[in-house]
This record gives sequence, structure tokens and C-alpha cells, in this order.
Amino acid sequence: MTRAYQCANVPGPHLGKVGTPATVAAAIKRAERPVFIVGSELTNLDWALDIAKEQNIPVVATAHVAGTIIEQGITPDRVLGAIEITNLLKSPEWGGIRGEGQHDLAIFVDVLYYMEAQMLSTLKHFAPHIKTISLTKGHQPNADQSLPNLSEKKMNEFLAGVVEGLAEV
Amino acid sequence: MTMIKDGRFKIDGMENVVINIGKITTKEELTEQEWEPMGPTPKPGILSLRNWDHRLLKDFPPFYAPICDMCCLCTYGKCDLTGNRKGACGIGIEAQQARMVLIACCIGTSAHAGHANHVLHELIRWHGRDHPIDMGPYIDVEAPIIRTVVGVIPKTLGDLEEILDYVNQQLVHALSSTHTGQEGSFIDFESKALHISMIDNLAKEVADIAQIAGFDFPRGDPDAALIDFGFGAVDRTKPVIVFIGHYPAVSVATIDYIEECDLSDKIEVCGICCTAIETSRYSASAKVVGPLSMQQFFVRSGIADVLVLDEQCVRTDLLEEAQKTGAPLILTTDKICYNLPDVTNRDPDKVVDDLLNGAPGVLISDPLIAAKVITKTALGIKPKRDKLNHLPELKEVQKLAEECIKCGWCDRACPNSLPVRDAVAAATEGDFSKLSNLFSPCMSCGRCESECKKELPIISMILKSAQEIAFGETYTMRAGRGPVLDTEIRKVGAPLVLGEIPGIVALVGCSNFPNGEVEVAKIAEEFAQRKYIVVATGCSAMAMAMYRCEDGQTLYEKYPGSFDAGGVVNIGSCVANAHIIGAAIKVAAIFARLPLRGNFEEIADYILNKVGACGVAWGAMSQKAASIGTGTNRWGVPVILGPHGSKYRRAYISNKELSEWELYDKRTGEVAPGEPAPEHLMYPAETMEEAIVLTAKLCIRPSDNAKGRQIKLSNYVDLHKKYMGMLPPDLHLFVRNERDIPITIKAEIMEYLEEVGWEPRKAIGEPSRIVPEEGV
Repeated sequence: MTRAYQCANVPGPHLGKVGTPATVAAAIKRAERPVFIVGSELTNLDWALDIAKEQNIPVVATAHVAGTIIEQGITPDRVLGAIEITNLLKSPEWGGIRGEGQHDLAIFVDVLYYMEAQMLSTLKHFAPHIKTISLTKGHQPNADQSLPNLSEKKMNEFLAGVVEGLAEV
Repeated sequence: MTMIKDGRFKIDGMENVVINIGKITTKEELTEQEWEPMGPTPKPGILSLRNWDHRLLKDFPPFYAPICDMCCLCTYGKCDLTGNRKGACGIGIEAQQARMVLIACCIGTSAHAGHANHVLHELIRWHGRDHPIDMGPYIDVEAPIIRTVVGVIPKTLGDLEEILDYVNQQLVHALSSTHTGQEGSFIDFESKALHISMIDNLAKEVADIAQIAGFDFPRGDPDAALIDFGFGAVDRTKPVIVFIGHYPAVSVATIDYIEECDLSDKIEVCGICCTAIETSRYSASAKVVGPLSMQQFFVRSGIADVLVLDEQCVRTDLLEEAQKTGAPLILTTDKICYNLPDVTNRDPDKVVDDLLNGAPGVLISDPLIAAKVITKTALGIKPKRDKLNHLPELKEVQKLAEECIKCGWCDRACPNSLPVRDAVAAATEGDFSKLSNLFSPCMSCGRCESECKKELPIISMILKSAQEIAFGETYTMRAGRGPVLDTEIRKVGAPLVLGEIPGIVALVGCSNFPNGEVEVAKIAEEFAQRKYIVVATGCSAMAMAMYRCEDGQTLYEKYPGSFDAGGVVNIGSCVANAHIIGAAIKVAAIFARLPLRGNFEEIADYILNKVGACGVAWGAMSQKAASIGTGTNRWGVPVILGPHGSKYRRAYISNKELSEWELYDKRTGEVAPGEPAPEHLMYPAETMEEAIVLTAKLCIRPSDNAKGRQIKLSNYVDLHKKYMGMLPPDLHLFVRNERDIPITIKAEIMEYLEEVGWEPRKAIGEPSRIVPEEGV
């Protein structure tokens, strides 16, 4: 069994799966209204922004990440704290970032690991209407799907695999 | 006339007349009755302010982030509460989170109440129950929390005992409701958490008033002494005594004893954590080593010849750590016993002999006796310890690093996921810079060592690599000044309520920082430059000292210690947090002339809607921080936590996209559409930059006049642009009409407001959350 990256982060009996590039890509393709939540670690920001653009997925910038994104000439769809977007995602009545309805998939990228773990816990318990994927460094057992614990090189290979999976018809 | 029974008298010759005397009122009691009419809720019980709590929780609903999906508190369990499952007792996941929060708040409150009980009883032993409480010539509204909650004005130390009786009683009731099969509603668990955390404020005020009266601590002195701070400040040529914890009776007694023996220039006294602040309030020659994040580093350094522990936030393995350095350990309260012998009643000289001959430590519960033993042991042990080397040499660090198998579990055990493995790897090449760079962000918790398969002393390796930074730098910290003066409140009350002083930023709490101490200092500097009133307590007040501004000055050297715009004010230790709430209460009492006595709800409503204050507990770690923050919330002051604060399981956040904001206008008698000011009550932020921007926003209040709102929006917009690179996306919610818009950026803001379809609205004259005819 894959342990959480922060090894004492053992939430309980219901643990998410370790994703593969293929399962992550399939979940993104399957989702009707996915949303990217990009956080302060900035490790895979460019990757997330590229995928968001290609797949027309809205981006929420947490913490002060908006500044970094704007420097790249891109405006995030929404600027919200990690806890604020999580609070919105758990409300079934929320209309989503683009007003098209509540999201059915939240993809977390680079939110501070232990804070992301807490936000994923909230969604696990209180948002049965939404699936979660964590592509932040380190395994997150509260996400429905999350990365295994990978080296930087392997992580890049994983993310490249997700891109390939999304490109497949 | 003859007495038949207690208070019943019969008049001779008038057989059918009986006089009943219920209670005889003394002159003092008459004076007490006259100072203010009693308000509606003196000595509130759990139910007394429940409506207020429910109103708060309507505007700021609890947000839960379970850190554990189970309940393990009874033998039915473990119970899996994931999703909508229930435990064997019927409890669900939300109520369980709220229950754990209440337990944490009870623990925090009991720690402060324990401190208050200890210090008060010791001071009564020293000075007697009739020892007067004198808060100095500039404080008439002394004890504002006690006045508001309990409805009395304490005059003597003995009066404080009665208040602690009430505190202790409330603790029993609150904690008992967490037993299996009691409360089942998360909202009511939260109400109880708010209640007991208000009681925590009360206990803290009792503790610090007792300390001020009994130890003659500063009474709100804006020019309190600048204290030497840091490892580098400690004179290692002398025997060094370090006090760790929170309860200052022992350090005070030791300083007195050292002076009595004419040894003041021969012994170095220093402290870590709040005891350090308290000790420096008593004697400006006492040094402050740092916040609790420095505890393990300092003990490992071996600088201390004697370690003295009192209570709270002390590492529980310090006996083992002290033994490694050959420093005797002296425990001084019943809170920490470590299975050491209680030698309080033994001949102190024999105890000193034992310690000098290798006894690892003792427990002495009498501060006056402990003072003798501590002093004599320090003098005797110093020559022996001079021969010991406490840290590995750099060559040894390199050799130790070579044992590393690069498994990386150190990184994964670290609460902040610091790059320990890479730093150790670099040391194998003789590059110690990466280990040295860990010194600042590392909280010296030692989880990396605990996980290390090769049992490498990583903390010691970091410290040795950083020795020039660690031992070379000396800073200054202004001694904790205690309460805010009435004269200061008279000056700032109106500009605070009208918004012309944009806010009070209170940096409080522990030192579990996500990126080291420096961020607290940067937050303080940002707001001091912008003419907010920056106040600090406890580990945050100490963390702020470990920073130099661009001009080389520490914050305490650069900014005045007065409670005024642009001040950087060290209020004191954890228990001095009470004075921050006290300052907000005094704004209501002195500026608005509201009665305090037993009048909690009206005062909290005033603070929530009119006093632009925001707490920032950037390193909140403990259960005490949970009760400090939650108590602050009940008084109507929002609190921002660092990202680790998300592990408290609960926040209070509004949802401005889903909620309507309604306030009551006392002036017109109407319910009016309000604004999210403040937007949240308890909010964990991910980064310092986010916290800074949010702090400016959470200081906005409905009562701001146009000039005040301009100043606040000017800061909010400027900070949002600085850190987020754009205008705030919710700016329109805080612009009531064009007069609110800062003139220098009016064109830009008007363009934005037109884009979002903003409509002007009326400012609320007398904003309140209490609708009188309906109650809250």
C-alpha cells in the first residue's frame, strides 16, 4: 500500500487510489465540468495552465499564485483561498466558476501539501457530488486519485503521460 | 429582639412580628453596586450567550476538514465516520469535529486557568489575599474582560480567586459535554467551544493581572525596556540558567535570590517561550533566547548549565536531551514531573550536591526553594560542563552525513517537508550551506531524527552548520508592556471606529510557522509601515524580534511601543493576549461609553461591527492557540491562521457567493443589506502573502466613515496589487458609494465598478447584528 507523502497523514479506512497517467487522463476526459485548483508550490504550474488551456478547464488560483500567473500573461478564472474554493465546491447549489453548474471534478495542483490534504478531506466527507484528483507532489490518500510518491523525473514522466492520455481520442 | 434562626428576628412584646434580614450589604458592596448597573449576563453559563453564538455561526458557518475520519474515544470504537456514517453512539463526522475542537479549547483554557491558579495562589502566599490590584495611574478601566463577563471589579488578589472559581466551574460543564452520549449538534458544540474560549480570555486576564500586581510587571509602559535577544545575547562565560515554559514565579524568585546573594553579574539568566517574556518583564537584564521553535536547538547547543521547566509547550523529552549535555533539569510545577523525585521538602544543599554528583533532575514545587537550588547548582556545575563538547565538529557532521542512505523519510517526516535529505547529501561533499539554510525555517521538532533509520542527530547537524548565524546574531525585543492605557484608547478610539486608523493587527500564537520566524516579522513590518496598530504576544512577539529591517534595526528599535498608528507593541506572553481583547472592549467603554458590566453581547456586537481588528496566529500549534483564537472570535475579532491551522479541523468562513449579508441599523431601526465585513471569522491562509492581503480586508468594518473606508480600501487594493498582481475581484462589495473610493485610484476603480455593474448603496449608520425585538 502506498503511504501518504507526509507519512503520518493516515486519515482512516477509506483511502483514495494511486492514479496512473491513463486513469487520471480518463477521469479528466470523463468529467463534464472539471476545475483546476493551482496552489503556492508552483512546481507544475506551467503544466496545469497548458492543460487547462487545451482542455478549456477553468483555473482557480489560490494563495497569491494569481500574481505569478498574470506575469505569464494569463488571467486565472478566479482568485480564491484554498479554503474558499473548497467551501464553494462542497455546496451542491453553487453554480461553478463559469455559472454552468457545480463542478464534478476538482484537480488540485501544487496547493501546500498538508493544507491540500485537509481540503481533500472536506471534499471526501462533505461533497459526494465531486471527484478529486491530486497532482501535487506526494501521495494524498484523501483524493480519489493521487500521484504515487515520485522523484522529480518520474513525476514529469507521469504528467507527460497524462498529456498523452488526453490527446488520445 | 432575639434571633430565632439565621437572619430571622423576633421583637420582644410583638409576638406576631418577625423580621427577616436576607443579606447585610457592606459599604464596599454598595460601592460595587454603584459603579454600573448590572447587565443582562453576569457570569454567563453555557446557555446564556448561545443566541449570540448561533448568530455568529449563521454569518460564519463552521467549515470542517477532518484530520482523522474516526472516533477512538470510547470502547465502541474505533468508529468510522467517513461521509455520512455514524458512530456507535450516533455521532456524525461534523459533530465529532466540533467535539474535538471543544476538547482542544477546553485543554487550552485549562492550561491558562492552570497557570492562573498557580500564579495566583503563589502570589497570595507571598503577599496575602488583601494585596491590592493597582494597574497604575493611566488605567481606570482595569480588568475589562472580568467587568464584562463576570460583572465585578477585582480590587485584591483574593478577589481574583472568586473569578477563578467561576472559570473552573465553566470548564467542568464544557468538558463534560464532550463525554460519550452528550451533545450531538455541531452548532452547539461550537457554541460551547466559543463559550469556554471566552472563559479562556477571562483566565488569561486573571493570570496577567495577578502577575502585574504581584510581580510588579510593567503596567502598560509604551517605553518598556529593550531586551537583548537571541543565542548570541547569552554570555556563555557565566553559568547559564534557562527557564522554559510559561509560569514566571520560579524565574522571578531566582532573580531575587541571585540579587540577594549579590551574584547578578556572575550568573546569566535567560528564557525560552513565554517564561522568557515574563522574566524580561521583571528584569531587563534577563535575556530572551527565542520562541519555542528554538527550544531543541538551544538545549542541543549545550549553552544552558541548568534547565528549569515550568509548564506548557515544553518538549516532553527534555530530560533525555538535558542528560546528553550534562545539564541538570529542575522541574517546578505539578504539570511536568517526568518521574523525577519531589525534593521540595529536602535540605536544598543536599539536593544541590545530588545534582552536582550526577542526578539528572529533580522536582521542586516551591519557587523560593527552587530558586536556591537552581542558583547554587548553576554555580557548581559550570566548571564541570565547560569540559564537555555538546555539538559535533564539522568534520564529524560530514562523517555522520556519509552514513545517510538517502531514503528521504526525513523530508517526509518534516511538518514543512523541508529538503533535509539533499542538505545532508551536500554535507558529505563538505558543503554545509544547505544544512545551515535549514536553521531558519526549521522548527527543531526533531521528527526527521525520529524517522531516520541511521539515527542521525539531524538537529545538531543543522545547528553546527549554522553556528555563525545561530550564535553570532543578537537582536532586541521590547519587554512585554502589559495592558493598553486608557489614555491611548482615548486617542485612538474614534479613528479606529471610523476607520481612519485602518486597524489593529494582532500577531499572536505559537511558532509552528510554515517558513520560519521571518514571515511574522514581515507581516508586522508591512502593517506598521501602513500605520496600522501592530500588537504582538507570546512566540509571535519573540519571532518578530529575529529580523532586521533594511536599515539594520529590529522592528522594536524602529517602531514605537505605543498603542497608536504605526506602533509595534509587545503586549506580553500568551496570557497577555487578554489585554488585546481588553483594548477592543475599552474602545467600546471609553469611546462609545457602553456599559461593560455583565454586558457581553452588546460589547461583542460593537467590536464585531465597529472595531477593525484582525488576529494573525501564523504559527498556531497548540490547544491554547485554539482557545485563544476561538475566544477572540466570540468577541467579534476575526483570526487568520497559518496553513498548519487547517489541521485544527474547523474554520469559520462565510460564503459571499451563496449568502446574503444582513445587518440591523440601530439608528433607523431597519434591517439593511450589509457587506462581508469582516468576511471570515477563522481562516487558515496558505501563504504569508495571502494572509497579508486578507488581513487588510478583514479590518474593514461597516462602521467605517468615508474617509476611513478610503484608507482601508487604499491599503487593500495596494496590497492586492502588490501580491496578487491585480485589483481585488471582490472590491465592489466594499464600496458603498463613490465617497468610499480612494481619490488617487478613483478612475481605475470606477472603471472596474462599471464593468461589474456596481450600484451604490447606503452606509449603515449604527451597524449591529442584534435585532432588539427578535433578539439574536
